[in-house]
Amino acid sequence: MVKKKKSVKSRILLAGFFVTSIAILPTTILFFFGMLPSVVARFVDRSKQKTQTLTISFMNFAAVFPFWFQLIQREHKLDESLQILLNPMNIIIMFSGALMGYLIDWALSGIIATMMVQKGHARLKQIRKIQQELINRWGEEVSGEIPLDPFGFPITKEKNEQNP
Amino acid sequence: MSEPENTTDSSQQEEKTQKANASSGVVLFKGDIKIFPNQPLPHLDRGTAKAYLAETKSGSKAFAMICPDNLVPRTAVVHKYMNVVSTSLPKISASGVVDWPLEKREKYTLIYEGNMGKPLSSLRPSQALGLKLDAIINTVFYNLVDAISSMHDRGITHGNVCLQNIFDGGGSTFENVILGECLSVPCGFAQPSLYETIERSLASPMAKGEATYPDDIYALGICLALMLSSHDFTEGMSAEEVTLHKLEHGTFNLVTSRDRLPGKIMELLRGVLSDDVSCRWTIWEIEEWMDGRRVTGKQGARPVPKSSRPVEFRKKKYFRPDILATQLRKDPSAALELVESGELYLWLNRALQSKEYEERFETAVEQAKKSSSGANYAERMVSYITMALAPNFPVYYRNQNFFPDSIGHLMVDAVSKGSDVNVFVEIFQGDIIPFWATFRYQTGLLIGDEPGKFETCRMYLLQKSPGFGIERCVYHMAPSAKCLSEKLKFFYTRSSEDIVLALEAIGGQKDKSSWFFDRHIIAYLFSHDKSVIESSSADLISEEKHRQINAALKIFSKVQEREKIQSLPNLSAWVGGYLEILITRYHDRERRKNIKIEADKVKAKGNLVLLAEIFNNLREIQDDTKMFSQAMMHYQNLQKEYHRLNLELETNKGFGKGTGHQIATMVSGGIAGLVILIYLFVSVSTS
Repeated sequence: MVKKKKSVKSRILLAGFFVTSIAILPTTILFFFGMLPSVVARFVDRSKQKTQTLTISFMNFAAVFPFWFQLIQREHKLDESLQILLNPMNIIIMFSGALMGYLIDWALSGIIATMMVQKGHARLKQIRKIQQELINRWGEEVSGEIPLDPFGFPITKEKNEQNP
Repeated sequence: MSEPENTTDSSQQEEKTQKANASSGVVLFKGDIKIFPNQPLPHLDRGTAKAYLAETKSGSKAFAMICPDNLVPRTAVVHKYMNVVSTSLPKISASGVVDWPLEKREKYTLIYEGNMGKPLSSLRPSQALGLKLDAIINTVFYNLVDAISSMHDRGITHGNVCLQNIFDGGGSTFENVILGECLSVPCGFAQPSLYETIERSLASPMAKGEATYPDDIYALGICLALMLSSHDFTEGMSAEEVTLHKLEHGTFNLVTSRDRLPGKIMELLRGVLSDDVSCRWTIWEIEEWMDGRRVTGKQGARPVPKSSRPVEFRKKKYFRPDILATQLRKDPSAALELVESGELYLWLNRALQSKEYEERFETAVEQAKKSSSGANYAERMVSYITMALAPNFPVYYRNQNFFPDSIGHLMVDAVSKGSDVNVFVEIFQGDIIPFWATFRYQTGLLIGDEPGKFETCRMYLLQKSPGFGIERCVYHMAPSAKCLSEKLKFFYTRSSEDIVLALEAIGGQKDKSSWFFDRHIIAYLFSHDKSVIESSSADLISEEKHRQINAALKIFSKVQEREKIQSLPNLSAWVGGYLEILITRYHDRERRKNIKIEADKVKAKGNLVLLAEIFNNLREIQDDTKMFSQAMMHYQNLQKEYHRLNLELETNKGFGKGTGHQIATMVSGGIAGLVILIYLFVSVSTS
């Protein structure tokens, strides 16, 4: 019952999207061709969260936005939209935005990953240090690696012999 | 459980002044009484209790009785004796523990005032003094009656009335005759067997039990007879022969066998020397006689039956069961043969013709067979048969002759000398005493509370742990005894405070033992001061050292606090040697350091109360345990994190990449937003 409701809802939305797209056809065409790298990135991106797609999309959108602004400032017509798209320089600018996004993603993910690995190693060292401090304060028995009696004290050989 | 307080005996450390000055030969007792160890007074000795010249604070002559370690002095009646008012008894000046240089250890001592003079027994070489009746009846005899009646009025008996213990008081006439002391040794220990009743003379010297009033009267009668006789009526007779004569012919017959004594005294002698206790005169009847009044005759108990024909034992013939009973122990095998052949039963049945003797005999034989192992069968048989034939006699078992109320003295002697105590274990675990009590009850004799005490000791022997066992039995049966621990052999300890003070002294020695307690000390504390040890007993006897040390600390602190002992530096230092074990019971090393510092400060002051508080602070212990648990959990969590992170770093090639992408998205979004905003701003400004 819920699934049926969902699919009805999404169909209505889809239908609405199509109707709107046709209603604002020049914008739709401009964004379709201008944001093509983002669409490609969406399919190439294997990650769950699609963060790379978002990164590329943001910069791609930033590059397409001035042209769309020009479009709605002049006449919001299909001819204007096509004229913008047919200018190779405009395509280059739009696609360069996407490229910037890709570069940002590549560079930052590498830098951050390296930093995270370094941080991870540092944390490992810190853990060992804290554990050693705990041992210094509470004795080897705090590690739980030596057998303890019910009161938390190491079982000595004498105790073992007394209580076989 | 603890003995009555001795009002002059101070157990406080400062009053046990024992500065033995070896060079001047003077021992100071309680700060102002002088004892001269180089001036013994052998005529005042009571057995192994030795007398020495002493001087009171006021300079008056006195003498000190130094009590031997293996005997239990009559400390329980000292306070009663002090209330006795009689010029014919030595006045007790002080009593307590003294540091005795001749033996280099503490000894119990009794200080008596006055000049005793010479014993009457020194008047002639022979026992018999041959004195005139008129010379002694209003002097010696009067004084002795006065002394004994004064004691009986206070509820105590003398137990050592004999010519060796009667003194002339330093005068040439008998007017100052004085009866000697009787508290330094167990009742009857120094009493020659001639002066004892038949029953008491059969017991070991230290196992005769407390004398009764009739026993004192009997001894007085023997003294009187010896004073009046010109010839020793026991000359040429051994102690056993004297007893046998008394059994067969009676004591009166014995004392009148050699000399014709004055007619005036016969009624008195017959009355006081009656072997039948029920017929024997009391001190008040003697006083009546001395006042010239007639003393009413008394109904005697049934006499011991005499058989028409004898029974033969070891080539001798016996007509009476009690006399036979004295001989059976000499040859247990022959006695066993006599029983098993049926000869003894036949004699009881046909010759003696006494139903009660027969029944007792049958019961005794049956019980002896039940409770004997192969090794001691004959001896046990002799014990049971002796009880059956003579219920009024002391118990006989494996060369021990004793009345049950004084078995404690025998045990103290055995432990002091390191002798075997297994015989006592057998006595407690067996049923000899219940049978003795049963036979006595059947014959109308007094029993006392001994069966109950023996049953208690039997229960103690069932438990092997410290605080019980044969050691506990010793102190249960001899509550006035000192603690017999080997560790305390140089000290005379009679209370938990004494023990703590002794341990304090031992703590200052180099060669002290490793541990404070042994079975004797623990048993002694259980007997005499249960409140101090009971709550810690489980810890004290546990196998874990820290529990033992904690228990020891609690016990010492309780005693120090209760007795208000100011400082115990040596004992604190000794305990301090074990504190490391207690300190390590805290998990937190920081806390351990702090506790150690605090403990060292307190230890230096000798305050075990504060030391115990440090290690028994429940909140600290709980806190430490809680924090340790938290630390353990923290460690475990860190360990898990380590493993997880390490695995990630080693196996995940794309470690951190996810985060990198997310940050890139945010940066990208930010830049895009900024670009759009700048473009819009520029566009609006230019338009």
